[in-house]
Amino acid sequence: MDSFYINLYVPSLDKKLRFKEFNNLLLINVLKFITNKDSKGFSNYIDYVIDKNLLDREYKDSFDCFDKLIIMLQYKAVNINQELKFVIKNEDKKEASLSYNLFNIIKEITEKNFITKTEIELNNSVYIGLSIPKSLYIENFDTIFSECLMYIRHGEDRVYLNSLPLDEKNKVLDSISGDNLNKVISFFDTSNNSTKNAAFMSENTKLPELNTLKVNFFNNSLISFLELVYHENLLSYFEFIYVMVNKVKLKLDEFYNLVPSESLLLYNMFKKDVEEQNKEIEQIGKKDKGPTIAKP
Amino acid sequence: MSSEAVLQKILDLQAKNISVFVPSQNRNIEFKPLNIRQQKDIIKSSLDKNIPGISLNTVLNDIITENCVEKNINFLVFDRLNVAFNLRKNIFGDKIKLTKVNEETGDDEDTNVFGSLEQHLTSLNLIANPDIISKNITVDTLKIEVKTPTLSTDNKANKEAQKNLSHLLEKDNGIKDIISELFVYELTKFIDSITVGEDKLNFRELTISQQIKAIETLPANVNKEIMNFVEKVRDYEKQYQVFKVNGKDFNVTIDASFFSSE
Repeated sequence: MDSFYINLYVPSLDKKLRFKEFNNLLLINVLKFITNKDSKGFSNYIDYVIDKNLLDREYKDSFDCFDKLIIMLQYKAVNINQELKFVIKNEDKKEASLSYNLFNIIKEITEKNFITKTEIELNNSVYIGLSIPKSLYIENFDTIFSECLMYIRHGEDRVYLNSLPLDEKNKVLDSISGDNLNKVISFFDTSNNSTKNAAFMSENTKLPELNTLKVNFFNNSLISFLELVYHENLLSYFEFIYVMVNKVKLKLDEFYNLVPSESLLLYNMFKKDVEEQNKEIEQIGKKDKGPTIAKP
Repeated sequence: MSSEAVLQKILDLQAKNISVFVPSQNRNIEFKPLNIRQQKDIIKSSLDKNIPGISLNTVLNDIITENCVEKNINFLVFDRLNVAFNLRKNIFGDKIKLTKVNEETGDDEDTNVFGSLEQHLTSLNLIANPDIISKNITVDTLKIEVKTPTLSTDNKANKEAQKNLSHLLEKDNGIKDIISELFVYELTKFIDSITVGEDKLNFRELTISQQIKAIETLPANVNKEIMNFVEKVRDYEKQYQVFKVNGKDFNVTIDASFFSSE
């Protein structure tokens, strides 16, 4: 084992799995996707990060979009910063700040009884397992449909549709009678109703726009919320890298391998050192000049 | 039980084929029933950015071609509703909710009246007369051959219309603009060739935009003759949508909701 692992909670499994830490290299790519307003790319990158960092490989295909949201929120809280802070300017141009604790947000939304999966009987004790979409980015109705059909079950035996080659998957879909779509849509409605009015953050009066951010598995609200949570000025981040490499003297690879919260810790230590050195220089400067003569 | 056996279980679920009368072929042909993927495509056709009527027709045309057990059959557009009604009946049953036209607005309104698809289809004369299959129109030196379009000709024009006109959906009164534009696309489907003297223009060899340009040069009296043929075909299709219940006329609305129970 060449890396440190952290335990992250996965709602659909109701258990914690081991993941590699989220490092600066991953963060910088995330910031690039967000700066480019590339939600689809961001969603695909999250899939890559989760797959690459997961240690418990047997679960690699089992995450739905809500699991991915919760994993990414935990990464932000554990490896970057648990405080989600919004600074706003009021009408009188005075700054006001509003902050949320990400752990509280995670706790609140995972404690809600969202309906994320079900089974419907097709015929002769053959069942089909349905779930909310796997992708955080919903391109169109086809995404929702193709990702909600998870597995076929007969007795204890299951076949996951994602594990089948495309032509075999299509054969299975062609064998399922059209009237079952009503049952699938009914599951979408039930799931949608279970998230009705579920806000990501507790209500505030300073920034009412935030109150409109609601959990919904069938539009792009989950990926939009992650974009908000991870949003950071890319230029400032490059300035930070410049300082870490040129002043703190970390190699770029070393910086990329560090967890963001660790690099911030190192930066703060460096900053404290510099401040102390400046203070010493100031003291020496004062000594060299000799005692100042008080003016009458 | 192995995963292969589970898969076989589901493949065995596929319902039996149904036999449907196809007017253009004047015989019964076997079709596979509607599957969940096709049902999804039907619903998707009613979503945003799709021109509802033509999107649904495109999806139905594809389903008819795909589900027909015999291959290489040149279905004509007036085959569509009989096959669609039978596919719907097979999956969702015989009972169908009917609508009535509001005399003031012209819109279809819900009623609590239900009809039987089986009884309705039995009451219709499904035989397609030759006068709705093709016609030659001659005006002076101009000879126009009109034909009821095949499903593939219909799809080609529908897809082009969808591509070129869907942006109008976002405009105020965009539907009105779409309807007037669709008229020309409709004509492209029915004209098979235009002959002037010795020169023959085969429409099926032209792109849709070339066809539209050619139609725009036709005299108004020729367009009228073409429209008469189109109307005859549409009248034949309309009979499917008008149900007689207790001596009164009711309609059935053919949209995505038609392909659901009741």
